[in-house]
Amino acid sequence: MSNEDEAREIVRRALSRRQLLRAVGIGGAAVAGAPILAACGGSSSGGTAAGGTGGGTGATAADVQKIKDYLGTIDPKFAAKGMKYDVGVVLAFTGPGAFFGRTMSSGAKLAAKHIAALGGPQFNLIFKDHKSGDPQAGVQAVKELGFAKVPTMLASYVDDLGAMLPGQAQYKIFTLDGGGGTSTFGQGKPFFWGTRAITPNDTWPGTIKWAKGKFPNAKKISSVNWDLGPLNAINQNDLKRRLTDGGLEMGIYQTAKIGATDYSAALQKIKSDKPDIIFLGIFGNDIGVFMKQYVTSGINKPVIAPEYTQPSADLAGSAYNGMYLSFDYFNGDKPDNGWSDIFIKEFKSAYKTTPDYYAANYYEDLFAVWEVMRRVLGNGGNVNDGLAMDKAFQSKLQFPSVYGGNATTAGTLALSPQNHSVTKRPMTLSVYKDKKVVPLAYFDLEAADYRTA
Amino acid sequence: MFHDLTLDNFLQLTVAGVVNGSAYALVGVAFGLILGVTGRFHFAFTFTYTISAYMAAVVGESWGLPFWAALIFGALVGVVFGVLFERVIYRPLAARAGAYSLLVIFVASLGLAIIGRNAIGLIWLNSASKQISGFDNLGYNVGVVTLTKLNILSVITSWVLILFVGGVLAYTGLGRVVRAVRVNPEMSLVVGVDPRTVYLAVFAVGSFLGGVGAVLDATQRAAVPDMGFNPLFYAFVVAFLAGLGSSPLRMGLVGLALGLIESWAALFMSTQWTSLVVFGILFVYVAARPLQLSTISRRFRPAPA
Repeated sequence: MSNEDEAREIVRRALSRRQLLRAVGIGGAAVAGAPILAACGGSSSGGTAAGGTGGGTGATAADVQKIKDYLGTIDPKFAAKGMKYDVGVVLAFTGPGAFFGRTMSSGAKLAAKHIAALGGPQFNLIFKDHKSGDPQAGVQAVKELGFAKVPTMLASYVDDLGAMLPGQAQYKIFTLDGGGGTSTFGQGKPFFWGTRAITPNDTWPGTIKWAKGKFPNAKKISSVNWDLGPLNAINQNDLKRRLTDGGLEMGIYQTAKIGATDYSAALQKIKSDKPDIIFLGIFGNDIGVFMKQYVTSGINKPVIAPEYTQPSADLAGSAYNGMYLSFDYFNGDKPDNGWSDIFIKEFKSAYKTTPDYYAANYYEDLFAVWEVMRRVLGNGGNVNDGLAMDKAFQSKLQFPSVYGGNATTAGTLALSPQNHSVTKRPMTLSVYKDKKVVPLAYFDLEAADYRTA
Repeated sequence: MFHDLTLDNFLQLTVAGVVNGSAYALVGVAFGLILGVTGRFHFAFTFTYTISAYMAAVVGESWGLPFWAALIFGALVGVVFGVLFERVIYRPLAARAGAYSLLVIFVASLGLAIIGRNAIGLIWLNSASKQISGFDNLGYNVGVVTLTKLNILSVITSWVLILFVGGVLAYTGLGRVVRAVRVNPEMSLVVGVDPRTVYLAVFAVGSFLGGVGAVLDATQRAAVPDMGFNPLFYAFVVAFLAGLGSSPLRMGLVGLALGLIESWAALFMSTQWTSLVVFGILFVYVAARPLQLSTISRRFRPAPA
């Protein structure tokens, strides 16, 4: 009997096939079942959940038709009416950032519904989960989309922290990221465009300007940031440059794991650095976890966080009181223009909550995709070719936006051909007070149009 | 490298190390007790841990239970699930898989942990993180050191429970029974002690200790669906470093030492790498002193029918 046969015989004697199957079946079913369970509950899912354009609509059809007024001229010949069009949507549906996946996908789904109602294509949104920044999940997702010849995708987390960039270049997938933007490391990458401010970097000039007015004696800024490995140095240098430009001094640049729950050591390092203000470069619930520990750390300095999300505020409770927030400004209670008014009404009706800027970004991103499709079709091109989509996108880097504008005119989403990021984006410095975000200052990139509230 | 090595930093990090180490000690004792006595790789400890925190948050919020009542309620829910897992899943699997129950229970338990995590995410879909209400945390400055009311409470609670369980195991008839089953379940059966009952009791105690740790953890941070995985890894390390048959006091001290080492490591390295020190210690320990698999595997035999 060979060694192999002997081994087989030992296993056979010890564990019958039936027992093995049953045991492995229970465990296997459990493991396999988990993603299915996860998929059932979200507004979208991990794995492929094509065709998701759900979400009820409470506004009138006439309201939705009014959106046309804000989009400019639409030639029905090139509107792709009824055309089935695949768009990969790779977001954080599980993990600590699952909140982002829900709100972003809600925006995209509502846009798909509106576009169909406006005589556009039937978007087939193919949802995939990058598990809140897991590079392997992102690589797998873009590979699957590439194999399926999906020409266009919406991404988040700066293209899953850059993990999907090579795949998009390889498979030529035209990509918009309205969640993380380009950050510093995704700038100018082929096929990849950031449709929000580079965060937190783009908020810094306006934030620094405000801070110098509010805290004139402040000099030293310490920061706590997500650990992005080799990309840390890029962000650190950028912060240092902007602080120096603003006449401030860079303190400790502390990094923390994404999803960290224990900041005791980081807080001690911050404490011993004796900063005047603390900038956060962490996101999602991590801000809430940090603040809960910060308020009892004995450090009594202003903290400025780079975003506001309701789950993080819920998590932190009273620890959020008095915290400053600096982020893209989409006012879900007071629309900037007539289109955003309809969007907000529709979103509230469909999802029973006020849309945040993430929902707004993915909503308008899908409209941008539709406009690019119209351009391609108008030129006699193929919308299922990611390269053609990308070229058409670049032919005019301006699109209607739910940000800015006025009652009769939509705002403008404009991008730079150099860094592939937005050239304008309304932002705010706010304070969290009595469970409300109260704006204190408004500004645009490089602190342009700065004004206090 | 040594610019953080100041007395202020050392003292504050020592406090953080004691607080975290006490938490590791509690979950280490909880998990080590289950693994050491029953031989079950109870990966679903993550679920009993997490559900305890969620239930404490829910009853505190919905029923207005005071903090301590919510804590005990949450821990008891963990007990219910822990006992159910042993009675309904592990025991039948162990009986059927025989000498291979180690793998079978591990896989089943891993599946339960993943299902549990996702089920919690689904149940509390709209508000995945829950706060434990009713505890007014305050910070105190003691010289250069800052600590909180919750820090003090966590340390005291952890050590009272560890010493209590240690005392019960060492000095009571119940403790002798548990130790007997741990050493030789078959012989225990011969002398009239049913190991299956003892296993259930151990799952109950382990789940309760873990549940208390979970509620304290969630009070400091928040209850989130993934919150059980990190403590489980620390519990693994504590249980293996201390030795599966060691006393709760020894396990507790190992947990405390891990917390201190991890915290002090921040004096020399960036904070996001300090947890690697803990796993580095385990790696070195396992490499230097290979686990006695023959003694562990004895425990994976099914409890006598």
